Amino acid sequence: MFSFTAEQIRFLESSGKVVLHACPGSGKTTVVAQKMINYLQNWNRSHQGIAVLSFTNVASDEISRQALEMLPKGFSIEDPHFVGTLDSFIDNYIFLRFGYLLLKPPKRPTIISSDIVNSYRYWRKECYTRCLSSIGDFKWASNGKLTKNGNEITCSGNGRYEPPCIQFKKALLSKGQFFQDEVARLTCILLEKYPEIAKCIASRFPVIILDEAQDTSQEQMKLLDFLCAAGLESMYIVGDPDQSIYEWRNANPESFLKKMRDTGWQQLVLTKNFRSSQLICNATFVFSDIYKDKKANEASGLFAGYNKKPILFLYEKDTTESSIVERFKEECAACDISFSPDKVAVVTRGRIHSGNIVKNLWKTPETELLAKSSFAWMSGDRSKAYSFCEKALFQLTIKDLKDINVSIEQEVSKILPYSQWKQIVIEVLTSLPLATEQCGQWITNVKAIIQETLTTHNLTLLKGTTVADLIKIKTHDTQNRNFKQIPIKNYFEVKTCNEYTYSSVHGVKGETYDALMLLIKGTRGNTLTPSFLASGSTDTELMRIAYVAMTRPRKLLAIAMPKSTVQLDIRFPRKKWDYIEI
Amino acid sequence: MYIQEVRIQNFRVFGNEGVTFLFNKGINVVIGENNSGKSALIDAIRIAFSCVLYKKDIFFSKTDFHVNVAGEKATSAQIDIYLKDVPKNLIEIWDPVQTDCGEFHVIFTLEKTPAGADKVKYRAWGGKCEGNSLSADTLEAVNLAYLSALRDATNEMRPSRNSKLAELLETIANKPEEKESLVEKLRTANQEILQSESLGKTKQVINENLLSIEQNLLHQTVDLGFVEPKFESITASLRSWIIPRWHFMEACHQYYSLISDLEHTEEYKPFIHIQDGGLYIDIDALIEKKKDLDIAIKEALLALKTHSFEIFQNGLGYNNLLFMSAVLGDMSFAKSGIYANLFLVEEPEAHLHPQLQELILNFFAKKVAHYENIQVIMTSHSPTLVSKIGIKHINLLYENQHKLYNYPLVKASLTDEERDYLEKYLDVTKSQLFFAKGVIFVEGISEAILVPEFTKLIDRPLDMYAVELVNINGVGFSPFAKMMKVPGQDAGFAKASIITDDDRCANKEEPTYIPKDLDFNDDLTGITDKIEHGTPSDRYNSISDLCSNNIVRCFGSVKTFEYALALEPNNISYMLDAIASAYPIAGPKLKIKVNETSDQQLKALMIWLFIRSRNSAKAQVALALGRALQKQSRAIENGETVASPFIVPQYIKDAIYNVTREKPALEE
Repeated sequence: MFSFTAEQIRFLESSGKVVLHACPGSGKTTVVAQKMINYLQNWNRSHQGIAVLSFTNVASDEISRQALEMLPKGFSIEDPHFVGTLDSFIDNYIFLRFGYLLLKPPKRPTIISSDIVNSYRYWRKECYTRCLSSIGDFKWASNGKLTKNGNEITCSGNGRYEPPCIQFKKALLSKGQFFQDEVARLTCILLEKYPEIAKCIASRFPVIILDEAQDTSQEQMKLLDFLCAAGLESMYIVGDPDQSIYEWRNANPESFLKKMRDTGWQQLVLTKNFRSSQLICNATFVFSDIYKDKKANEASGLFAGYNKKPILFLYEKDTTESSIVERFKEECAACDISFSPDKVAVVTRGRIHSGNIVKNLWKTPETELLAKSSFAWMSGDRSKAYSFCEKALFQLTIKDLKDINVSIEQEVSKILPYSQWKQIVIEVLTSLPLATEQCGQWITNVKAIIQETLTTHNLTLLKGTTVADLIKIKTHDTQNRNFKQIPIKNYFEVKTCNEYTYSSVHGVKGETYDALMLLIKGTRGNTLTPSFLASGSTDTELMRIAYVAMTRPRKLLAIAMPKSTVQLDIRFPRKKWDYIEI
Repeated sequence: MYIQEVRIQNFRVFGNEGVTFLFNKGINVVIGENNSGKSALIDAIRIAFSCVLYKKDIFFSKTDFHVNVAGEKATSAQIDIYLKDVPKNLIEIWDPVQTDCGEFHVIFTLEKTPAGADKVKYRAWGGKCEGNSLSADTLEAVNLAYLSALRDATNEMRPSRNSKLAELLETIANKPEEKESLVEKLRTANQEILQSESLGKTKQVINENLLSIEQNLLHQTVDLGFVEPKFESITASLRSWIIPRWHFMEACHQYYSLISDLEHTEEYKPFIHIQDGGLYIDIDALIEKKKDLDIAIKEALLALKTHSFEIFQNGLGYNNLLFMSAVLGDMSFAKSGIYANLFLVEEPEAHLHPQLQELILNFFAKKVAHYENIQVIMTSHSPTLVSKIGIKHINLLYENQHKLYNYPLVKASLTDEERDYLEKYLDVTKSQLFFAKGVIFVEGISEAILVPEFTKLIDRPLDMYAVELVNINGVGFSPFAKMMKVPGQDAGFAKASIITDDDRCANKEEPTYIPKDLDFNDDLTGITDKIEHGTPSDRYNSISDLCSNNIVRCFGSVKTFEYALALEPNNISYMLDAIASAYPIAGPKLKIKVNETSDQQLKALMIWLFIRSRNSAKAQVALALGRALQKQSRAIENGETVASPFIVPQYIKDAIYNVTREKPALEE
């Protein structure tokens, strides 16, 4: 069993409305799991349970895994309790169940993924060029008006019809279809209108533990406040605003910070870092918006005294990525850190292959769907692969999916038995070329496969054109003449684990490595650059991304950035960092 | 929590239109003729409440889909359950708008497998929208017990792991300490038993033989005892038996004289019955009463209590009672996570004599009044139960024009006073009307005696047409008429005729008033005119208006029943004879007077006035007339012709035809 620190015990013994600010490496997941176990083992109420919520499935799976390890064998976490994401909690217990009250005529809402209906052909040209980014940006406001990124839509349409965005959202509404990021706000409306529902949830789940609370949107937090007001016995909000890096998914550290300032809540902290060495803590706290004016977290783990200063690699413009990694590898060897994916990570701000792809490669939606299918199949996500492949085949041969009233199964059944269709899809799916294939070769193979499938099963193309018209990619690119040699996986891959872990920062959130190198590629623009790290505001998501990366390693932290004239001394004093030029 | 409403569609006898049942908190009865769907309802409830459970003792089968008159089998059946007093924690069924209500639904569909075989699939959901989950946890919040019609209560009470006694003990001894203490006692008892030479020896013999077979390989020995000292074994072997109240003491018993002396005292007499050759003694009661009884005598008495009856020696009725008390006993304990106890009983009256039926109903009523969470739904053919249970608690299943309907009597358009009146009035005999195809309501004893005879005269015997005659002893027809009319339905559960007097000429305010003290031998000038021009009483008009529907119709006599009978020339002599047999002195006088006139109306008037003034012997007159009519029916039956036969007045004929069947063409 672990021995808990005084700070951790204070949290484990607390109850009521509690905010826990946990610094990186503070054993947050462990105490959350322990807190849950303390409840589970003494639970004697039926049809009531505790809910342990997190922002991502990965994070909540980790809580379950740790809790199950601590629990006696045979103990399981199941009904009446709930461990999962905040989204799935809201969906399953409130929105999908009671959302019918908001719809006329009442029907059970469904949640659809916004990328699936974001069809290329639905929009007018002017929408495409001037306005449209993703249909997910369009949301209904509580006054019934459609907004895009918070601004009311002012397009007038063409006189007879409303603008396509409004038509489209109305069509979705009439079918009771919503996007996940609309759910929290609609659920707030529902709870305001039917306060009994909040009471019901508060009674069904009298205890809620919210982990990764820094990623909670304002609407989700408002919803949790409804539950608190409706008689929740205890609510624990656990998180670290410095690690909020999901703004693109509506996450907003402000709602957690507000809770940290709220005197109605008991404020607890975990300040001890059990992961990193004191030297790493000393070097990184200046990048934390909360700790920058205080002092470094106290390193308290096994590697607290590990005596290796963080390294700042400054590389020349023409230095290749692989030579930087090679240099990093040498440093790891010097520290006796074995170079393997579970020990060593190299992380970047954006996609790992961002330097090695071209823009607008896919010339038709069907092509992109098949490429996605290829990649999903390679990653082992078979149901996703099937779904992409089916959509592509359906669009090619049966009907355009831009019409949201289309049900694939129904349409297919009009032409051939669905079971037979399924066989065809699986046939195509299993013969698709590997995602590691170069895109030039990949497209050639795919065209042949589709052509063969059409012939074998006596299917005709919907538009009466040739396969080559519907399955195609860019033919030339001025920036990268050899782009056809890029494997298609590069367009989708976010993490590789070969010699070492190579990932975006988002992909290593919550993880621990012995050694980690943050690779800074840019020198200008709104991304991680030497000047941003040297003087950028700590109250930005960009800096939080850097901070999350820097707080992952136990023993060795390295940052590699292009050599520049930027004044680095303030944030990277030589007292705390070893400068190495490559 | 309790079931408020059940809707069933396309399940067995219930067709595509669906049938709705309404239930109360507490006790409910569903009545209806055979094959009207009572058992189907009970099974539908059982199927619904077990649809998502792992452990089911009933399944929806392919043959459960309704087959319509055209022989077409439905491919989808639905059961909807609506509950009340639903706790919020049962979020899957809870209704956020009516916050004390909840509902769940299950649809069964008939599908074809790829191989072409039929297969039943189901979809179940909680709340209003299909798609929302319904889990076993939610349905397990209802504890359901079921006693079937073709039951074997004897078997249910036999020792077994799942016997009702086992369940009850499991509920009561729910703490580990209690279980352990029981096991400990048994362990001690087993050890003591083994001390006995014979058992010890038995054990030794077995183990020795075992050893020689096993050749020391397995090293296993057996232990002997009556029950293995484990809690599950105790519950599984629990049995009950009946101890008789009276025990016999032979005359040669040493305390015979002492006890028989006690029999002579007023105080102890009730506990001792002297019989030939000995005494029957209620030993427990006697010991309770006579506290100063010598210890030796007490022990000698207790030693007489040696025999008892095993369950299988009991009568069926008694075992049913035992079963029901074990079930309700178990339900009386609050259990964590159980919000409702539902006891479904088919025909609780089976094997019980009427007084016991009443007692069992009182027992149910007491239990449900005391324990909020117990709801009893029973089916019954027993007028005894129906008469006691209260109208609101009745669901009446009936068929009309080949369609099945349910009439929850709580829906009857009755005021509280009218309902009270009916409940007071519905005794066992009158409750038969719920089981009848037709009902004739009459005002009094004369009609009650004579109408059945009339029905035979016109070849419409009541029993042949399942018609019940209800004498309401007065004119309070309207609550009955209202109850018979099913709100919102043209088809009632039974057709009804009300036979009543139009009671004209009884209003003092009107010129046609006939004084109360007028007798047959007074001056009757102008009275027949009054009758002719009189108008039916307000009372008659209002009941007549109420009955202007297809279900209940009102048939009024001119003036009164007797007057109407006597208007038929043929009937005069029958009536005069009947009167004469009841009134040997005044009767003949009436006869002379009547025969003096040839005016038929005047004759009828005299007979009516005679009977009105001599109300006391009304029944006797009716009985005498009835006997004469019986003779006539028999003669007709034997094919004899009766000269000047008794004629049934037209309005009564109409009333009878109304509840039997359409008037035959020949009678027109």
